[in-house]
Amino acid sequence: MDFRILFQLKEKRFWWMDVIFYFAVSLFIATIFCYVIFLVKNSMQREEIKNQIEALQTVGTPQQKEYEKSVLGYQKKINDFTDIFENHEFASHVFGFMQKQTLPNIWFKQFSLDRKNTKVEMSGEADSMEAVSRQVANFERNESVEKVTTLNSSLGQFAKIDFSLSVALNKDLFVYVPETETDSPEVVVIKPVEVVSSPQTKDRQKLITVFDFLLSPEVIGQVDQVSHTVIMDVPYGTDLTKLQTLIIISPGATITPRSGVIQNFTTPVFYTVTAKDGSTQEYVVKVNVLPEESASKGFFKFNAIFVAIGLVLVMIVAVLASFFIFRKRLRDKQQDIKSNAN
Amino acid sequence: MQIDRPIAIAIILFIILLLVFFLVMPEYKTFKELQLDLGEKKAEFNAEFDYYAEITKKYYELQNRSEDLAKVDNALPQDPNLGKLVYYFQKTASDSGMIVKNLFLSKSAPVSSKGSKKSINEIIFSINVLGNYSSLGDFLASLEKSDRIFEVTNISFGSSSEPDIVSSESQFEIQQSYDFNLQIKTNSY
Repeated sequence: MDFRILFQLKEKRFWWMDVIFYFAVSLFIATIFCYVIFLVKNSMQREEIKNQIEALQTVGTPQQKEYEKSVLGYQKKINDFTDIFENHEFASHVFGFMQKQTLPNIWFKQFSLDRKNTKVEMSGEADSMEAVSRQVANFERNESVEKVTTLNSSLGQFAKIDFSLSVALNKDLFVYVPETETDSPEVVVIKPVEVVSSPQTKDRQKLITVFDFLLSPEVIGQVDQVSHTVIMDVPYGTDLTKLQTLIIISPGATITPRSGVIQNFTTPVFYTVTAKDGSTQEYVVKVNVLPEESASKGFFKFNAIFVAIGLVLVMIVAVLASFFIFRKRLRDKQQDIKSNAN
Repeated sequence: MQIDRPIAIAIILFIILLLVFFLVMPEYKTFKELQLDLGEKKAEFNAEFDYYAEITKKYYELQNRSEDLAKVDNALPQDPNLGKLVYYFQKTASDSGMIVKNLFLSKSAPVSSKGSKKSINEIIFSINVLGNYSSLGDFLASLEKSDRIFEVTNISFGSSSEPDIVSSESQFEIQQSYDFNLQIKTNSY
């Protein structure tokens, strides 16, 4: 292997060696410059985040916080009320039913209603076995009776028939039916109040907080939390059929289609965010293609930092190159003067 | 001083690599993370702002339905108000033509409500009343029409007197007094 070239590099002076050297120096300066720019930019962003957090603390006046307390209190109360009311059962319906279904020659001595098991146990007397059988048949025919579970009858005193029976009732008999039940009590039904999810109640959160397109430069969307719309302004010439997304949503929530999945955005795309508690929120993503001029404007806006770095790099290279050319000419002149003198 | 160019270039490039990997790249990553963080904070701010706007709107909507809210307050009071309940049972029974013979609180315990951390108290009263069927019907109807939610969970009665089966009237139409045992459930916070 010929190592002379290495010695030649060391001993001799090549013009391109100087070019590489100055380029390396300028690259070094540009790297430090980049680092400084990122440091400054990060510090500015940290300051902005700090301001944003402070601004967040100021959202909601004391009066609004009082309203919040009141509204959330009522929301809970109305939901509890609805829950209790939906499961409320009316025992008086059973008495109405018994009044209608009991035959005149039947006398109940004992009566017990177990609402939990929708079961009625009765015992009594009838003037004949035929009356008992008609009464039982009457119960069996009725839609409100599921079945007669027990039936005992025996001949009692004074030729009367003692009987006992258990009847399993249909659950619908206990339900409030305002349209058909004329004797039903007047009740007020209040629909549950739906209040927006509190940021504190994390299980209900279903927000898209960040929606980006992983383009170069990255396109950051404007998320409107009121209309649940995301507006994306992409540069002119962007292929809308294959765009990769970066989506950040509320902690614990899930989104479909998922973040990172390539989508066709030529028409508005719907995303569904599902909160931990199972509630969902739909967002529509609309993409606007910027005109050619705006696109380049947007490009420079998003990449101002990189353009600045590039310009500085070019300037450093230009300055160093000029210096190198000037020094080379100076040396050539010095050599000419020396050779002329000799 | 003469600089050894090849070595100097190699050293500079090496330093550049070190700077890029250990200073510039981490700062760039931080820059991107902060950018996302800032976006999140802005979205959070907007969401919070909208939330309070919506809360204010809902508050005024609720104010317009104060009558309905009063009914909800009555149906699910903050306190059990046992004294009021006893008075109410006594008053309603007497208005319906019944006499309260016995009344005791058989249960007062919290039950967890669906989707709610704070529990609701379940209060169960056992009442023994004397009256006829028609009075019982009125008493039950009054309970069910009441602002406060009452649920009759058990009803039983017994009759020791001899029946008059010869009569063509139904047992429920005869004005005879019975001892009725009722179990009545209500709720409060």
